[in-house]
Amino acid sequence: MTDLEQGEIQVTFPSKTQYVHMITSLASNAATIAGFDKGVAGKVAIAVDEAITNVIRHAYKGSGEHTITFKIEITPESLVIKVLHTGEALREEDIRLPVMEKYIKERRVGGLGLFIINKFMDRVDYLVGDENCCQMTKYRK
Amino acid sequence: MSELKVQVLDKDLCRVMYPNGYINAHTVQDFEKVIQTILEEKQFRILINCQGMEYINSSGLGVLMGVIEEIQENQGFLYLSNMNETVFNIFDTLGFTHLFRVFDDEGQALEEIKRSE
Repeated sequence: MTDLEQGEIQVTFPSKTQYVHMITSLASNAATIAGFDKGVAGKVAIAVDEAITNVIRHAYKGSGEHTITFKIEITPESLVIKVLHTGEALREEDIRLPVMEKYIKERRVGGLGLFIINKFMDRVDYLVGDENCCQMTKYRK
Repeated sequence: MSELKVQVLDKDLCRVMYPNGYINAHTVQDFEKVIQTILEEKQFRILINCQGMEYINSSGLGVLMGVIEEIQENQGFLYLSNMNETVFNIFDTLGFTHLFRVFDDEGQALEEIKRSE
């Protein structure tokens, strides 16, 4: 394949954990279509799992009566993933990423999701608006 | 179809767990139940063979973090083997490979357990 694949995918689904795996599979497949290797596709899948789980648990406080819109844009430069919701916004200034060494020493449980997203994606933006958005980008090398 | 099935085999050296499927917020309770049952039976020597594990997210890692203290207090261990690239990446990235010993395959893990008897 010489031409870089480009395309857009959009899915709206209920804010319930049983739908998460379906979306992570979609994300992993999209990463493969975009030309990323299996290792990167796996990282993208985990980041997506964590981002959606955060929306269900925190933005919607566990309520399954809302919807989440999931968008993927495959561009010549990158894979851009958006998780959109109308629940409580996560603001960048509120984010405290754990220091892993300390975290492991103190055997803390929970709070790892945001750390994983940051480690596995190249860029993460939390956008606030009518719809709030966790936007995650993986650049083509 | 169930998204996660966990088979447990009682081997001479330890209990071996075989999770099949993915571990995330949706399935983590099933995973936790199995590991808690093993601990309730006072078995603190545990190997998780990850051959059938598609991926594990932070909820699953939280379960492992939650039980490691009890296991160590009881002179036990929690080893893992047969990880795919995605599962290994998450352990490695988070530094969990310092907290849990990871083996290439089950045979290697069992051999190490035997050696340290």
